[in-house]
Amino acid sequence: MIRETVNENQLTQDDILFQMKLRVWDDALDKPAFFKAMRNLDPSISDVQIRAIFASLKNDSDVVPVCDLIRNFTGLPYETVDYRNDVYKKVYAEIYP
Amino acid sequence: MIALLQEYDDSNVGLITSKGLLNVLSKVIKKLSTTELERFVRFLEKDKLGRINYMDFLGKVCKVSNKNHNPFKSVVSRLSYFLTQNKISSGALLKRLASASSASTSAAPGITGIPTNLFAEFLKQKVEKKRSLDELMGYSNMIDIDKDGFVTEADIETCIKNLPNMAFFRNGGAALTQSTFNSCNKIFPKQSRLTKEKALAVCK
Repeated sequence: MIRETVNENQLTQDDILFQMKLRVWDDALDKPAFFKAMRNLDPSISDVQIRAIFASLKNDSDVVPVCDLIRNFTGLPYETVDYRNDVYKKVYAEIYP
Repeated sequence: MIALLQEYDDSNVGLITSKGLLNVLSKVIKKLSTTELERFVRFLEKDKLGRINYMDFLGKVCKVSNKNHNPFKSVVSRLSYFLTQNKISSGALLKRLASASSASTSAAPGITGIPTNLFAEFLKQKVEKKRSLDELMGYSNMIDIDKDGFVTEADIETCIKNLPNMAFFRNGGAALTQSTFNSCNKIFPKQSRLTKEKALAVCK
């Protein structure tokens, strides 16, 4: 949904970062920082939605790097977690036919 | 695929370079173009030297694509979740099940254990309602690590502690279906002290 809004309004990475009060070189976001940033972006977003986004974007250290977050919102389709999961599924389908 | 990945793992530490992984994927995966695979590999998590843990990679492939890839592991995960959510230890759970059961619940002197068939019924009622009792009976036998016919606290703790261990759950827990070292006939020492003759024999 956020990606759709970004694409419709042709928002740039800087627009999103400005709204979230983040900079690309900031430390990776833990859960509370992620909640705060998402609330800055869209106050109407629910806790459940934020939790779901955090779960899909977090890395092995349970944090979301700012560049990963912004890449998923404003990047090209192949830069998103959805694309990565789609490839995982295709790899699985070929390994276990 | 693991064999191919191991070929590229020169130092045999379970890590592979991005290029190595890309080569393996290009050989195995025919439905995706090299560019698509390159784009995919580019954003995978790497260590500081740019290497990828290929067992983690395969784990993620299975986790994302098929949540039921390893049903035994899924049952143990759910059991672990059940214990955490209900704030109960495995020992306390077994004691409660034992108090509600009329069957023998003594795996050994002083050790509470639930017969595997009763534990399967518990799994069916509280942990994994969607699976059949027969299937859960098989998993209950796997959870009974020492194959004494009883699920004890040690059995449950062993399974839960090994949740991150891929070898433990390999092939749906096939390694746990039988035990080389354990049998249902247990021999427990009845005397707490060694006899004088035995002590002398041990000290020789």
